[in-house]
Amino acid sequence: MATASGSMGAGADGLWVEHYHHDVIATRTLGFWLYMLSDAMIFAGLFAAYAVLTHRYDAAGGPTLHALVHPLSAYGETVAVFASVLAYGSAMVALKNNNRTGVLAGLGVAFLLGAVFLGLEVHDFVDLFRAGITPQDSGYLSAFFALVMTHGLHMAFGLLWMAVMFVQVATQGFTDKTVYRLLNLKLFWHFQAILWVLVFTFVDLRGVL
Amino acid sequence: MAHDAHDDAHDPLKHPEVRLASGPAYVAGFLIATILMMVSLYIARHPALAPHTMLVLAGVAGLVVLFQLVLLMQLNVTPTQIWTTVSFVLAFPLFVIAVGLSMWMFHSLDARTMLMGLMH
Repeated sequence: MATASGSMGAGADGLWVEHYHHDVIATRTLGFWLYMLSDAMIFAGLFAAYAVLTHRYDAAGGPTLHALVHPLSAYGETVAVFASVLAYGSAMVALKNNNRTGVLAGLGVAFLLGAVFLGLEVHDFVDLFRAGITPQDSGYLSAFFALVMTHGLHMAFGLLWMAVMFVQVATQGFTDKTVYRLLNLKLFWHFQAILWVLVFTFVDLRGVL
Repeated sequence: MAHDAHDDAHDPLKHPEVRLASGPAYVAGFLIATILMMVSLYIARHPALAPHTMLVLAGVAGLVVLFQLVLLMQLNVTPTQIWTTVSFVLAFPLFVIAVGLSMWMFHSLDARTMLMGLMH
């Protein structure tokens, strides 16, 4: 589809040619962006459930936010996810400069920092479970775990995708396909950072108050 | 794929969305977000600083999200990004309405149905 010839010399009936010869990369990134926006509605549902279920009454006498969150560790997670996004950004700059090594290095560092984020989060969850605090204890805890774990699951899938892209860029280089996938993963990864700002503020920081 | 024969016309690296990448914007976005989140952490640990602490924290979070959307997602009204921006602007109210109306509904339910003083 994207191999038809002569985009320059087709000036005479350019309108039709342009229309027929549509932009595959732009179509796919916009489509993926619309998916990200609908994915955000899942988070809207989880944030809404969290907002209405984090009343002391819903905790059924069990632990509330104050006992669940570690603000300093959560800030460490925040820095890790922002730095991972920055590393991914450096991969995008390397892509612009046709620098395959730079893209692989950026992806690698972004992956490691994302893994640090996930490691810290899993560590916090294990601490909670060891203390006997589990999602089924109360509506309050269900809402809390569902929200934070859904974000964590997104991060895990982002890491998986990043590993796949690392291999594809290493073996296939920059084709139409690898390039639009890198652009889509950028949207996905940056979106997780934006959602994390909301999780950090309304879960971790609110728990400090 | 068709890398040799149609090099110039179909080099995916010449795509405007690849050309959007900007090192300075990404670094600025990282610094602003990291610093503002540190400010939020400080405010949360010293609630006496701001009277309506949660509102202030929500405001800072909104600001960080805005900076990330502009500097990292590069939402703007150029021909490359206009539909990304428009779809976001149309979807954002849905997010706010879904969360906001749920909170409002349950908040007023709470006030109308709970036996004050017994449940709180």
